[in-house]
Amino acid sequence: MMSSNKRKNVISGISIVVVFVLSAIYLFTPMVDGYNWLGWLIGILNLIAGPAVLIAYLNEVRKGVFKDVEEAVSKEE
Amino acid sequence: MIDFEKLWTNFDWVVLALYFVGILLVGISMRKRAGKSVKSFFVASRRLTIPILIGVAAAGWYDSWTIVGLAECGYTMGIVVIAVFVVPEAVLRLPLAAIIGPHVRDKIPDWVVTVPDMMAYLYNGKVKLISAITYIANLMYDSALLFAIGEVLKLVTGMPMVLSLIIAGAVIVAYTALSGLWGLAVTDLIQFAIMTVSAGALMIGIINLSGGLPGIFDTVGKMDPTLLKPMGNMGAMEALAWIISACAMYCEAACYQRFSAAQTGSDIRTAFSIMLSMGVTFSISMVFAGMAALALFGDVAASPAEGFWALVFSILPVGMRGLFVAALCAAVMSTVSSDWLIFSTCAVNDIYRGFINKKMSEASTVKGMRVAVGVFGVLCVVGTLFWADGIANAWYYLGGFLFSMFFIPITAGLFYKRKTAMGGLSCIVYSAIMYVLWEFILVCPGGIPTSLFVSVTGAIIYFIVCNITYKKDSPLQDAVV
Repeated sequence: MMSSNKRKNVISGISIVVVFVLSAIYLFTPMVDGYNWLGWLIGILNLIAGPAVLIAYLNEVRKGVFKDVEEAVSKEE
Repeated sequence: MIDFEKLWTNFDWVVLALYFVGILLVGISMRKRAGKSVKSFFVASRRLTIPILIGVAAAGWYDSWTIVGLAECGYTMGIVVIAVFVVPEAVLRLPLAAIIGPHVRDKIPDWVVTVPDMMAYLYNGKVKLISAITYIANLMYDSALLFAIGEVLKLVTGMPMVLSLIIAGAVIVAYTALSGLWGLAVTDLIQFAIMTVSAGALMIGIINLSGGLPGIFDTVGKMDPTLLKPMGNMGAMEALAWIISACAMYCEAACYQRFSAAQTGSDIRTAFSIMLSMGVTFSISMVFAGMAALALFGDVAASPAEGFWALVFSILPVGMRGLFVAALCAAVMSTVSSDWLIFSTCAVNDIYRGFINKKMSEASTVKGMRVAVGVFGVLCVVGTLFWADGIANAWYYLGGFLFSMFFIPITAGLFYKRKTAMGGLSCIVYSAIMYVLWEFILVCPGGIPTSLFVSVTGAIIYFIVCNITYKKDSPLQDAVV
């Protein structure tokens, strides 16, 4: 079972690779004319991105992250 | 000339109004939590988790310039903006996300919550004071962003620009002053979701309307072949200046505020790298939207902005248009509210409490910051007068200014072992003066972009002065490295 930090490092590593891959696609594909699949890729990725983050956030709220924060802040003070 | 007022319906008004009301309600609900302390107000008590960090980071890094400005660039410049801005923006900001952000969060003491605080920590109080004053001058960029809201609301709804500026400004002041970064965290997340869904719907709509990207590229190529050339008509120097402006985020106060609000450095690395992978897609969709606007409406639109909004209103159904305009307002408001929060902290916590009234209580400081948010709101609305000709150059100038002044003092300050306070001060003062001189008085002699000349010469001055004034056992050397 991966530790939390190790999991985060793996996720950030994958994201960094994705940045490079997407950047290469977006940079070089228009130079050789526009492709329909590029438009669909961009559209679908955009449609997924925001709601995915929103769902992750709602999941955290459901688990009680703001309640944990409230208690932690009260303890500090 | 396109008559937008016929395309804007009452339902779109309802959607827009509900968005503004929703934002205010979030601010009111977060008021108590935000008011506990400066740390709570400004950096959400450093408790933001990864999903929230993604939202606040994206909403801060991708603002109305990313929507309207990049679309205008796609319309007027074509694919060259991908090579000189979109891709450099994603790739060159990776070290900021993966190295500098975590380093700042994990190594710098807890009392450092603003960039001026960081300047005090890395150098001394004089550098902090100049940083605080300079960051407030960035209000001009916020005026440009606010202008974008006023312009689009005037274009599509007929609302007088002054009225839309006052309403937008008042809403931002209200929810920022009430809820600080806690409120921003929630609203930024919602706004991020609205922005990406709108961009996705727009992209798919463009494919359906035009038959596909190849058709758009064909039409654009016939209108102006240079728009499809990888470097267009852009010279090397101008390209370099654009790439430099993409690096200006290294000096953005809002960026470091987000870092300070994270729980750990590894959270920053994860959240910001995910956010960059989403952001590059969002940015490219706006460039293609601009090109599509040219292809489909270039012959009837009076301006790039008009063409872009004609495209949006042709593709998106009733209601979604209101949501897209709300997305633009969201992008502007998240950046502007964050900046006003920072400016109020700089003015009250860093300058007034730091140098004039050192015994000011936490509660009074928070109260003062809330008042300052209102003051900056008014100044920002007045400042919109400067951007009457459009905002395409706003980031080029102001991003370039920030980069020239602060890139070396911040990055070298974090890692350079021989840094000195005199080196930091010399670089910042020189860069501020030379930027104005080179850009507005000498008007870029030799065609050398101001940001390039000033940052290179500023860096030389920084390292020379640091090495002249370096003392081996100086207390500065204990900081960060």
